[in-house]
Amino acid sequence: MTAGPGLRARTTVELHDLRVAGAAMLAGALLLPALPGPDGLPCPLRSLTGIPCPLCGMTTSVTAAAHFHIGAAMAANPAGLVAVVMAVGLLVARRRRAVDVPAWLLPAGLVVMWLWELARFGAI
Amino acid sequence: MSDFGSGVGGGGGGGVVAGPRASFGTRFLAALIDGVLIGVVALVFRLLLGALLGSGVQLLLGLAYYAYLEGSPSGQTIGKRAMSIRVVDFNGGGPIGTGRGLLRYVGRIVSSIPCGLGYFWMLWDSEKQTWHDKIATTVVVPTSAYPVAAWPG
Repeated sequence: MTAGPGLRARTTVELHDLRVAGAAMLAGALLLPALPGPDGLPCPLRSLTGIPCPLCGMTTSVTAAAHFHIGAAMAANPAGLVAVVMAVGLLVARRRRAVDVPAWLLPAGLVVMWLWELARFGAI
Repeated sequence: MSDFGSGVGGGGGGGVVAGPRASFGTRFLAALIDGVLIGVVALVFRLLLGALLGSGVQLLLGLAYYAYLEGSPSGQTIGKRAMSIRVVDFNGGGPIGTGRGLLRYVGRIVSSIPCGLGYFWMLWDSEKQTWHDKIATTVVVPTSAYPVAAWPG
């Protein structure tokens, strides 16, 4: 693989909304096991077609990661661990307004997440 | 993102809408208000008509609600009005009309299918667009920068 201009492209991500969403996610993850009712909503894609989506397992994973159940978080969706670490990081680095990341990072992350879930549910 | 100049007021010369975008928090609360409103009305239909027919009514209810109100000149559902935000055409800043409002509602379904990934997309998108914004070529903006003349208009 050669590192062409496409792979060198970078994108600016503003952090305010991610910080708010991350804080809400952490609060939800800490509260969810204490609340009555189901621990998350069924994935519409998986309910309709049997095929999991890249975000499948994220409720389980984020909830487990927030309670330091690292193994369970890894098994459900490793991205949950990343999301929890990032959400904490955003709260610590509160002054940071934006970050430059490689443009391929997010699409690549979603592809890895999807492959993980497809394998977990035996679709591949 | 410091260019608050052209496009303010909307309906302009067909350029891409500049200026601020509605935040994730305000859009989330607006969606929550709309969801509760439709949910309560749909619950009544569910109790009256049964689960299957009730779900059908809920889908049509949502479709009519979002297509009409987001397609109206204000671009505001009740939730968006409460949170002082509105849907505008990404090109020119004007209203999108009922047809594209309908398309945006279909886009909402697409956005929610992979566990709502299409909604979360706005968190890292440079124009804060969800998938349904991209499908309908819209952006959601605060009314402080894009005032509403009349509701629904």
